[in-house]
Amino acid sequence: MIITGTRKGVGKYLAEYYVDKGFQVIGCSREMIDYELMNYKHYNIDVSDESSVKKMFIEIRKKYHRLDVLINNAGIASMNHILLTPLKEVQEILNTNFIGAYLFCRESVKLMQKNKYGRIVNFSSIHIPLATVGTSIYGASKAAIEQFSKILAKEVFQFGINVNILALSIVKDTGMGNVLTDEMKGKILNRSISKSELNISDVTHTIDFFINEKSTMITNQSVCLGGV
Amino acid sequence: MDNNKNEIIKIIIKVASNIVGTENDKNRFDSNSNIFGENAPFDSLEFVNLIVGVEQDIEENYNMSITLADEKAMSEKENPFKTIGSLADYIVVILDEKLND
Repeated sequence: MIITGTRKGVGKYLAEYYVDKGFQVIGCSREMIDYELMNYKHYNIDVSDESSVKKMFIEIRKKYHRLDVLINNAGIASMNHILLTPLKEVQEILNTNFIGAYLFCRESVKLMQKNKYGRIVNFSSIHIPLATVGTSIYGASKAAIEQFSKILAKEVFQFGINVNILALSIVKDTGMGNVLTDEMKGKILNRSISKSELNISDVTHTIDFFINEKSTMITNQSVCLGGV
Repeated sequence: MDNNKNEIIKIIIKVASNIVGTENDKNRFDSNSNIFGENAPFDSLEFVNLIVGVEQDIEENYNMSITLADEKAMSEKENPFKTIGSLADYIVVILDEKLND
């Protein structure tokens, strides 16, 4: 299993959770990590750098000969008015959030299709249905992932691969809402049905369902936790 | 260059043969065999398998990471995916560029 963006937050929790469940987990992040886990291998790479990503996948192919699950978690959060968003920031967000997800999906499918089996989970955001002010670029990057995932699901179903989308709001104790003030957090959460932050167990429960071996027909589905 | 091209043609033929099977005709593929378009023996899924398989075998044989479906391939005057020979020519160019990088 590959999980992107495992240095901290949700990605780190997922790495720990799936190692505990017996998976061989491969994680990555741009910066070094400050933890070690059994059955966990980490790559320090920029997910949008094609040659680094390709090198990582060649190593994985040579060592493990297969890949069952990809969780595209890596992402940069951003909250900024469009008139105050520098172009460089736009490029960085699109590179990490969309180009990174695209590269990992592309290379993963190449590996998964050999065994005619694969599970891909791409992360989106509650900001898509809410169209929250300040999230134009972040939202655009996640909307790109959603549309990409819908078509990817159609293109790779024949390889035994399912592709699903998990849209998150704010997950408790993961540092996810750090770019938001308490007032902004409240406003966002109040627009969800649950009106509360998510637990990491809500996230793992949904991913477990998507990546279950029996979930062959569960593809091109989108779950927005907490409800909108 | 020619040696390289012949090796690459062998790799492509091996991958192509694995995909469609050549039990009844061992000489089914040569460098002039079409791999894309009306006369090609591959459906769209098999074509994807061919490109991915060739990419992976080239990476393993030459220890170099390549992506066949890149922007260069799409902008070539002659479609590099037309025949086994044209694909081999294209791969030789990619490998040369990588070596000179």
